[in-house]
Amino acid sequence: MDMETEQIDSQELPARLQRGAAIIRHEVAVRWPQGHVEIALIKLQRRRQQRRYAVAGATLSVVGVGLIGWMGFGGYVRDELAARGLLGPTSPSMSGVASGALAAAPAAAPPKVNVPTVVPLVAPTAPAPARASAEPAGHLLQQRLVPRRQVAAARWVALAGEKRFGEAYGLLRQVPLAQLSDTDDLMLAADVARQAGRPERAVPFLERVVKEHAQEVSAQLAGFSLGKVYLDNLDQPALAAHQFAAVRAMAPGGGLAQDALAREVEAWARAGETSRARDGALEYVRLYPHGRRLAAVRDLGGI
Amino acid sequence: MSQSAQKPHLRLVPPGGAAPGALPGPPRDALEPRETRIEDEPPADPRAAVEEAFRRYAPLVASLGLRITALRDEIDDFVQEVFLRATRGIGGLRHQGATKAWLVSITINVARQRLRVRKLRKLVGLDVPIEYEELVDPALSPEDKLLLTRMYRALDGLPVNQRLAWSLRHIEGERLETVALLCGCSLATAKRRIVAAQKVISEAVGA
Repeated sequence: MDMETEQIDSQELPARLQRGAAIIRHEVAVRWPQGHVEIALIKLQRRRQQRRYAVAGATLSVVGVGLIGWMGFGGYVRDELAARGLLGPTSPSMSGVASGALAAAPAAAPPKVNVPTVVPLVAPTAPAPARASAEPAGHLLQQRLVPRRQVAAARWVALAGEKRFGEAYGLLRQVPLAQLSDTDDLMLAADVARQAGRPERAVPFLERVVKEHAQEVSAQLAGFSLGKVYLDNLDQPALAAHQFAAVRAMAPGGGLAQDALAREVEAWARAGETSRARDGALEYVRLYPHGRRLAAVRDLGGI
Repeated sequence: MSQSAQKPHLRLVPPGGAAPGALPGPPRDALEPRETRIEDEPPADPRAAVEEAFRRYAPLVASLGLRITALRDEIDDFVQEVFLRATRGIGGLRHQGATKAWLVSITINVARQRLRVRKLRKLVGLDVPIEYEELVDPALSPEDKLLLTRMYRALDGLPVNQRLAWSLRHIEGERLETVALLCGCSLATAKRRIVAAQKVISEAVGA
């Protein structure tokens, strides 16, 4: 170790900085609720698949554009440009009639081409004077966006209260997600998105309730709603099953546990995971021998 | 047994053979892999290897990313980005025992990218301010919350590379050689960045 490294290594931070670094080191951590890793893994698999599709789509587009160029569209454009004198006569990419015509012309005299007169659609005017007080782009954007966000943040709750969900959702989209931190706001935002016919947009709000308010009862409700959205709206039964399992794990004796287990069985059955559905159904029968959904669960679990 | 024989040399190589400098090698101290089972074989099924790594290391990646970037709302997306990059490169991972160190180096690269994007957003006025107090337990004392906020604000004002170097050195407690390796710079540059960052942060928090 050289001397300078040794010096920096032995150099102690001031006490206040040490304290601050220790707070960040020990207090700033991600506390995922139980089962979240499995849910995140399923999302990762979906995203990988989406990326594969995107790459395939981009490749096809490039090949398509290349084919179009190869089939002559590019040549046509180049010929047009050459005919108008915008390309040099020696351009190697020129093809077909235009290059042949040029080849026939005397080498010393460039071909005479009738350049069409371009009639401007708008009468020429004097160039616009430069703006006297040009603001930097950031300031302009801020001037436009910040008041809009404030208005939106103030109005969307009122519109939701009046059951004007479409309009409320339109404003909600302009509110930065970070501004919504209260459980009630997040749950209301999720409801607005669902009622406005955009259930997939309810997912981030519900996920935040589950993650950030894991100790509150609302987290179970949000988790259950999330499972329903995955199952009923987004056709993601495996994701939904994990979500319902997470709800049960949050409060095994809670009021939602029975329904969550029944929904979990349904989700596994729809995902084609018959053995998991059967296990869930057996668990349901054991825990709730007179449960509300006993018949449906038996049917779905095949027992 | 010699020292080199005891400690396997862990580095990433593309499937076709070694290409020096093509991919960052793993650091060797606190980030040294701690898996009990170190195998010298590349993963047989890369996809399964990534999934296993995800189950094992996603919380670690998330916490490291959060401490460095403080971007809580983006942390799920952050973790996914890290593991998507891991999916692409895991075929070149010769030793499964190096997975953790390798993921940490990807995490630092993704963090660098996110912090740069955030700076750009701030420049054009599209950045949403972060409530740093929400990163920690609400029961933490107001003084500590204030200190945390001041430190993160000071870090926000730093150039991204200085921020990364200082965070790795003093928050994550890495050795200088590891900091240099993770930051992709020389040891001297790493030291210079840490010293420069520390000066600014000390002034900001009144240390």
